[in-house]
Amino acid sequence: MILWYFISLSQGVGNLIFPTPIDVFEETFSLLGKSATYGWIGFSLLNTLKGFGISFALALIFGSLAGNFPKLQLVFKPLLIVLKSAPTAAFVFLFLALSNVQDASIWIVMLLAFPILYDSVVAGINNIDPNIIDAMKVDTKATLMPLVKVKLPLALPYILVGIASSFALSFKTEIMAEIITGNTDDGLGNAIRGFRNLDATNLVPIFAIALIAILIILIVDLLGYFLKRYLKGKYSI
Amino acid sequence: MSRGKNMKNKIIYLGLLAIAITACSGSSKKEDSPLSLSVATPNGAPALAFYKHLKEGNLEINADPTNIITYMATGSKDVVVLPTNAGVKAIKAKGLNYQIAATITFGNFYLAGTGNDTDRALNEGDYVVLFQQNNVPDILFKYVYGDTFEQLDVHYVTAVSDAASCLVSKKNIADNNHAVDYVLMAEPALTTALGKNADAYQYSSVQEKYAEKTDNKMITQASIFINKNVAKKDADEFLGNVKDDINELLNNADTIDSYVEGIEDVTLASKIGGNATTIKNMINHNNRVGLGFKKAIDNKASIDSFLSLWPEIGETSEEIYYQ
Repeated sequence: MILWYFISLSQGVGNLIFPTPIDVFEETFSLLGKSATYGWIGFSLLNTLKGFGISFALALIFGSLAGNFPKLQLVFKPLLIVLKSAPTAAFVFLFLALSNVQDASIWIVMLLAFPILYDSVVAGINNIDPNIIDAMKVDTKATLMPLVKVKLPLALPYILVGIASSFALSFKTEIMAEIITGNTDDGLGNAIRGFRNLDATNLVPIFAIALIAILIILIVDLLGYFLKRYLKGKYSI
Repeated sequence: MSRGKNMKNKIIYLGLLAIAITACSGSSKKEDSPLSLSVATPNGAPALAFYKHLKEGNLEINADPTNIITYMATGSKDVVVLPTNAGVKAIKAKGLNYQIAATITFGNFYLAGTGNDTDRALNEGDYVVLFQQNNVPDILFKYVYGDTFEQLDVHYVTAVSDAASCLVSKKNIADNNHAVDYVLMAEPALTTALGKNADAYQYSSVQEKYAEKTDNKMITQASIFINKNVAKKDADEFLGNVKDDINELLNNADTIDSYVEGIEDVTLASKIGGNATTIKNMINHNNRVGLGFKKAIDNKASIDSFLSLWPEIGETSEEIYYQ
């Protein structure tokens, strides 16, 4: 905070580059007192949850398949490389053509979140103690029930790490995606654009929105912490 | 006449009177009807043309014109609004199924002085900040100031918001805080920036200088392109409504108030470039946003003159014009 304050003072042009923390905190409280802010937060969070939720479901399916049948990991590898390395901006036009502008950001979130979640499911299954796998094979020849009742719960620590690292990134990506897809309806990204159009020389509201996004992730992290404790107790992981 | 009949007649007369009063109290203005065609437009001044439909689902306002070209390529919108050069280039290069129907914005660019240049004249060695290199603002500036361009110390920033920062701070932060003499700006960002730097002033209007150089032709900045699959009756009605709506707004800027009620200022700024107060000020001060309506086929000379700034586009043929 002190460093922030001195950086903003050193610039000498006030809010044009680096507003002071006092101004930003004041604006943040002001924004949190307006109902419109919650509309922006709700839109961005909802789109993040949609993209993240679909990615998680797909990651569970494909990650479980790849974890159980190692040869499939080789089959899926080229797709994962494309998804991880393809520049998002190159796909914006495709996503706009596939859906409408309000939903295009969901595709971008999926592009980012799916590879991370897939890797965490595969890593979780691959790192289960081989003795447990051998013991399971003795007990049953079924695939689905051991996967659901044994493997996925044992893979949970890895999956939770994947969720923790990708959700915050997904939310940040959603805000960025609202800007690059050109959406002017709702969301924190659109609010950033709106504030720039209202007064291009005042960065205080922009920094305030960034602070609100950080606060939301902190709240989600806290919820994640309590969820992890509950799951640890339930599955003894 | 019996009492009963008398009462019956009174009731009939009162009923007829009520009908007559209702008929006469109706507004002489035509009823606002929702958009019958699907429309995609860039934000800012072009979106302002559709101020009556900001809350409708049929209107998409996108902050990136290149995204709208995607809709043109897929044919998924009945109407797209684009920078004229971009739209015509796409039609000519890719044979897209659209025709240019009308121009609705005619330039909102101005050169502003920061107050640093003591002789207050654009000449050799002056430090000038332009935005959107190789796009419309840059191309127009090079055209109108072509004689002095090579002598100027020109630097580029990405967006008009960055240019506004240079105008207010009088320096270019991206160039080691170098002092800036002039900045190319667009409205309404210019008016907001002028209010923050007491030394800053409008040096010239790009629109006026363009008119001087082209024998009074107009900058045909953004135009309406209609999908050829749209029925002529629907297209004509759409264009007629847009023209009437624009003229209504230009004649009385307060018209916009009832249509933006309930839309947050920030959301409104994202869509039409400013809040209602700012937009009304722009319109009332010589229409500084450059909003208007001119049928493309009637304005072919201006369109061709504007497009000549992009030699690769070439002259337009009548078949790409909606008639």
